[in-house]
Amino acid sequence: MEKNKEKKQMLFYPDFLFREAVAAVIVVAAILAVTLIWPMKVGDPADPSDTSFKPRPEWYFMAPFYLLKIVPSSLEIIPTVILPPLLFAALIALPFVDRDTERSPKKRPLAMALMAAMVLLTAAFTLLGILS
Amino acid sequence: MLGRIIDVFDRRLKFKEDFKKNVLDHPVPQRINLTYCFGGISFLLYMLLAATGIAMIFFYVPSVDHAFVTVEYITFDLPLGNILRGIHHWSANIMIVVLFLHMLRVYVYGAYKNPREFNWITGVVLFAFVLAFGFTGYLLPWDQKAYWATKVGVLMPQSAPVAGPFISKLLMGGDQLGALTISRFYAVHVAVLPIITVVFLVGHFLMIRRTGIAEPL
Amino acid sequence: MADEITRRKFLERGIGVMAGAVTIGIGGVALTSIGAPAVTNKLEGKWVEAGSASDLAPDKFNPVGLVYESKDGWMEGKSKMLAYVKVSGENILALSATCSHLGCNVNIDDSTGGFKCPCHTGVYDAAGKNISGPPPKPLKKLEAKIEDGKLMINTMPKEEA
Repeated sequence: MEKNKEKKQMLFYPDFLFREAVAAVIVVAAILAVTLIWPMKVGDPADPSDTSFKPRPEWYFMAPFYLLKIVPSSLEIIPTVILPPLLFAALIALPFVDRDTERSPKKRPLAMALMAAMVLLTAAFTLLGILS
Repeated sequence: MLGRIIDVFDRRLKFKEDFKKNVLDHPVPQRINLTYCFGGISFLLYMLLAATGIAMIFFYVPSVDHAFVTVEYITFDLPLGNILRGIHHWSANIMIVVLFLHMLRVYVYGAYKNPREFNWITGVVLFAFVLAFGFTGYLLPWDQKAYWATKVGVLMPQSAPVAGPFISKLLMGGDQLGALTISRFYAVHVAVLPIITVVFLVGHFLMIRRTGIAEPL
Repeated sequence: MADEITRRKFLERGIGVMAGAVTIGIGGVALTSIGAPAVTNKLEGKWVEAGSASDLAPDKFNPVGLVYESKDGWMEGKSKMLAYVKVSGENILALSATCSHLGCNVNIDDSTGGFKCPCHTGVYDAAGKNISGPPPKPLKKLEAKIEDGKLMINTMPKEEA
């Protein structure tokens, strides 16, 4: 153990797993708490002939939902077909596009700006989608 | 007791030493902070989802006539059913948040860079799988939200040239959102996605074990 | 001879060919049957009786729910859909309520006499023509007729309005 400390390392088991276990217990307790505070309900049964229901996706699909809403018909193909695969392709390509080995966020202003822009945009669209 | 059972196997199969050396004693950086737990938490959530999901398979019937009533049964009549479904629901929602944070941490720390490129890629694929889990999962209760949100989702590819309408029909299993849609979404949700997710998870874990966790900055 | 097939090479290729053939064969059968309903599970048009024609308010759109026997894969049961029907003298205009954008049911917009989609704010005029928002096409027209005072509607859209 002494040796490990000098190298600023610890063991996966039990040092790291203990921390994970603590985090895990907290998360499980939190899930149980919200489950008990807000019991599950059911909606109305699906009815294809109904018009009173206002269809909305789960919150994590709100950003694309909002995009579908604001894009005119001539550009419809962008949010439906082009953007989703493009975003995933960009994420997959990321480590091969950004080959600089510098890891410190302070020395990667472009990468950080891009991330901030994406996160803000997604958050804004999600919020606008929920409010609409 | 457990130790003795393990020893019985180990005397014959000699796995203990390798397991200790390769899995348990693996060194990890000591200065890691709270953000390093998101990956492990997602895995925990995956196991919670698997356990509660399998339990619900015992009661849920994926058909237009029975989906809604079986979900009602689980929610209101089945002992502890509400908690079962609640854990599944909340774990799924928290999973999205935790994975997003996990991804952000890896991005900010530049941990996707050489030699961990393929860890990043399997991670992105796993994130896509989780979104697919979410999409196929919320059709299953066959309530209004399920029906309409799914209808919008499956019709999205329709605007693609040439193959678009066919892809939508492939997702629905025909011309309408109905009996075959719910059974194929169910199949994808409880069989296809869990299996391919585990395959990618194993890859994700083996690779991070080989390259080691990125040192904190 | 560099490309002479040795015993080892023969065995190696044999394993590849056999594993590949079995995978493609069995996987092909499974994937084909999974995909087949996209082509075979067709929705068929049907004339459905939709109540008495005298119940319809004249010269404006009336929401008409259609319930009909249908076959969907293995399931034979009732399907539902919504139509908007306007009777003006001899003319009957029946529109499918399904938005041409992503399939939500549109609502009647009382201020314009047209329709609005609750999903992505598509707007149609009183003839069912898409006038703003994301919908790429007009609402679909349904065949409709009145027989012995009963409103009859065909569930399969014939054309765009």
